[in-house]
Amino acid sequence: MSSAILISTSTVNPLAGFILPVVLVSIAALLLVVSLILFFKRFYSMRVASTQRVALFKSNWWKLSILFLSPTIVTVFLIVGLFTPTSFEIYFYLYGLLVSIIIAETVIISIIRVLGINKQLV
Amino acid sequence: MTKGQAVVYGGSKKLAYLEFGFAAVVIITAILVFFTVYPKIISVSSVTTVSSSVSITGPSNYNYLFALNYAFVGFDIVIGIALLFFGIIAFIALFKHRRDNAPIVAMILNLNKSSNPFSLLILASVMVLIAIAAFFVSILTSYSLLSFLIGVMLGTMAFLLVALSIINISLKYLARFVFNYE
Repeated sequence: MSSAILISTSTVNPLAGFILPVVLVSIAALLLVVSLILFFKRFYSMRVASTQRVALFKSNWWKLSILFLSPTIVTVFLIVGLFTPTSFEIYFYLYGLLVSIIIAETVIISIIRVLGINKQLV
Repeated sequence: MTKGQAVVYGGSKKLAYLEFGFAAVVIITAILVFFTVYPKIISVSSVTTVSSSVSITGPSNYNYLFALNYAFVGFDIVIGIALLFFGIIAFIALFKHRRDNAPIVAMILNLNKSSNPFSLLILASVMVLIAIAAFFVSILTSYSLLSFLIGVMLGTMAFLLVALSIINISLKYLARFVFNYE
């Protein structure tokens, strides 16, 4: 009996405001799980091999710090959504989640690429 | 204050000031978020909807369930502001040692299959997937409210897990590279 209250309380276009971001977030979150597992596998194998590979981070140190700051991006979107009128806030919540997941994924994939560089280190 | 005393007290005066400032920022944000969220909760839970369907038990108002979403969002914002501090600690540690990468080496050398703070991150992302499944259920059952609320709760739990793992990592491996205790 309380169905459709989400859409009735807010004048959001259901396709652009709810269905599309949920589908996109689900795809992005699946990719995030896969890339996180690859990331940890790479880190474990690196510990066994050598820590000299860390020298590859010399120009990529900021990537890890972006990974640590990524929850803050979600928080910024949540704060913006809290101060906007009720009719538009769901856009900020769902698309903010999407944007931060995509940023985290890009950073993780680039770190995997950095660690996978087959360079002879002295 | 000599160096020995600094070690005994677990840090310098600067660190103490920083901790107090951080606690003050978190408390002030919590108060501000409360005063922003509370009117929204009141306004949403007092909306009267005209339902066209005839029900046996009579018309009842479930809007207070929707108002709970705002409580969870406020909780998320307070956690996120607290996380900003630990993210900044990680940033400073990585920036200070951007030539020798000491924090990353310390993190990798201490990786341990039995107690790994990183594994919480995978658990949290799986929880985000379950939350999205709850949102799908909400779409398929004509935007039902309870499954939407369950999705928001699972998302809050996942955010809490991410917060715990990041606080764990940055206090275990990174904080000692920011503050020099010798």
